[in-house]
Amino acid sequence: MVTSAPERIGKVNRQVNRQRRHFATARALMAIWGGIAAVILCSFAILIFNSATPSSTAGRIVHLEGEFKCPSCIDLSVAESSAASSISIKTFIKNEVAQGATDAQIKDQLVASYGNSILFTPPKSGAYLVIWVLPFGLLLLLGYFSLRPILSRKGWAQSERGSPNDPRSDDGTPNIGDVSGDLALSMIPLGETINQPANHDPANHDPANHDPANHEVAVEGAETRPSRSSMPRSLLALLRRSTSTSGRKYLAIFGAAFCVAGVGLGLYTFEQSRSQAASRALESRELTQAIDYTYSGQDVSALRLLSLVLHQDPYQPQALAYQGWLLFQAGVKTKSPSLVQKGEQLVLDAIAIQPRYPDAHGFLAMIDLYVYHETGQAKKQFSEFLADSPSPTIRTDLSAAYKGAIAAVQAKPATAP
Amino acid sequence: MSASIANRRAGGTGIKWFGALIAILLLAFSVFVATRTPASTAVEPSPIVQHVAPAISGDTVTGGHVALSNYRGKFVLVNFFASWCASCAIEEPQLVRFSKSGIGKVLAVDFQDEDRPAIAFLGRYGANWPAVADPNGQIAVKWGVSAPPESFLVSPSGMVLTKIVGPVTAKELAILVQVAKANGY
Repeated sequence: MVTSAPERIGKVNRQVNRQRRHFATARALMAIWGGIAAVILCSFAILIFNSATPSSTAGRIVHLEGEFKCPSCIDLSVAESSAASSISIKTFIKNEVAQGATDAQIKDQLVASYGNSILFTPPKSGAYLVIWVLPFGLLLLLGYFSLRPILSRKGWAQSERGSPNDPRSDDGTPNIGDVSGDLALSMIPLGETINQPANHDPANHDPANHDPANHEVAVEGAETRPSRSSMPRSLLALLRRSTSTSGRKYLAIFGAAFCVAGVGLGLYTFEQSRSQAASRALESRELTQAIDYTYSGQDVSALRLLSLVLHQDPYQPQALAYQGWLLFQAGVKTKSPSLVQKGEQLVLDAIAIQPRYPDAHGFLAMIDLYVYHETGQAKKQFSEFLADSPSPTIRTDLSAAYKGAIAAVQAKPATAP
Repeated sequence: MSASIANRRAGGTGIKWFGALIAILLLAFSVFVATRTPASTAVEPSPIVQHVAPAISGDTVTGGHVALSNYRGKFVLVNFFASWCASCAIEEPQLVRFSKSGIGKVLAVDFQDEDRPAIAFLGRYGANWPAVADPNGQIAVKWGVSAPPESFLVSPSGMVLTKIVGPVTAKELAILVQVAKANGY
């Protein structure tokens, strides 16, 4: 197909204009990244300047007051707050500084009393390190992927001669992109196709060159081939190339990782929204902590946390079951029928609210054995416990206790309290 | 041209999909974060629980002297209160009931308060246990107290068994002591 010169000029001009717009976007992108880098550098400079401990005692006290969170406020430092607890901590800091304590010693003492929650910024160690590293890591990753084609000499070289997978770029086509603008257009012989080989080598007379699609390839080459002076301008073109060639595998890896993470988060969120208040509370820190306390023998702390959960939701089945189980055990140990009865009632309440809650059935099986010595009823409850998929830890613990109790009942039936 | 456009479109589509994926992930993350308990309101277990109770030794608001170590061998409820604290007024009759039941002893710490109002406050409810004056809140800092009323159940051996934030009832305290006894404290 033969294209007339005015058509070709118009086409090339349109492409050059489009390219200019792309270059402008690329420049803006570079400016944004430059701005972000400048902000980060300035933030670091301010952070380093602020984190330097002042030499004067008064300055040191003020600096320390800013390091700790007011325990009875939300998002206020001790320095910013005038709450009673903040005043106490201010006095404590002042006294400790006067007695010659180091900043680390003061920090350790307050953490020992209040826990890590007293720190205004999370510790820069352990799992907390993720909070500090993640934002910068993501930013660096994003920056790297945006600027990779420019930073990569290979990518730049590829961009200069076109995509390595694109044979049309290396076929000896007159390269109007080697020179820019009007000069390139003036080099195209009128009446000739743009992609005609310059050296007229017979070897280059490939039938493919007569493919109508190839008439426009050289023009496309002119569009995507940047000059040395326009290195930043090529960002978008290079980004496109990276997504279609070597960058594709990186995108695939990160895309897959993000997909997995996204699906996980999505499922978790879905599960959270689907559940009612009961299962939300199950996930709550207090309940999880209380169950941990129960299985580590810290019954008093567990009971207190369970009371907190039940104060928020009096019909929380897990909390009811565990509170009942703890009270039952305390009743058996102290030979208190009222506690045993109360414990049993709470476990029954939990089953009434959530009939398929395995732990409650397990507890009821134990109560049936200890109180009523009903092995048949206990076996039924224990079967329900096993059928409702309890967690492996609870299954192991309760199974061992159940076997022991069954053996004890069969050996020597005792009287109910 | 068409091949090139198709090629470019493939690249452009890739970027769009990648952007959409990031947007979905951000949305999922936002939902996840929004449904969490705010860190500012989350309850962190007290680090002194299951550890030896910090020492309390000082002058009482009535002029005597008292130390926590004097209570070894008994369950003690260390109660941080203040006469200016409204919730403490709700809790005080319950503490009186608990004290009268003989299940355990109460040792009060008068947090950032003056002696005279504290004496009047205790007298109003018939609270006859000693109250250590803590005008600068330094005992409270050692126990990690944020705001009164906060109480700590201390075992006969001097170990902190649990921290109670907010008003507590006599019944709840009785159960806690009973459970603690059942666990060998």
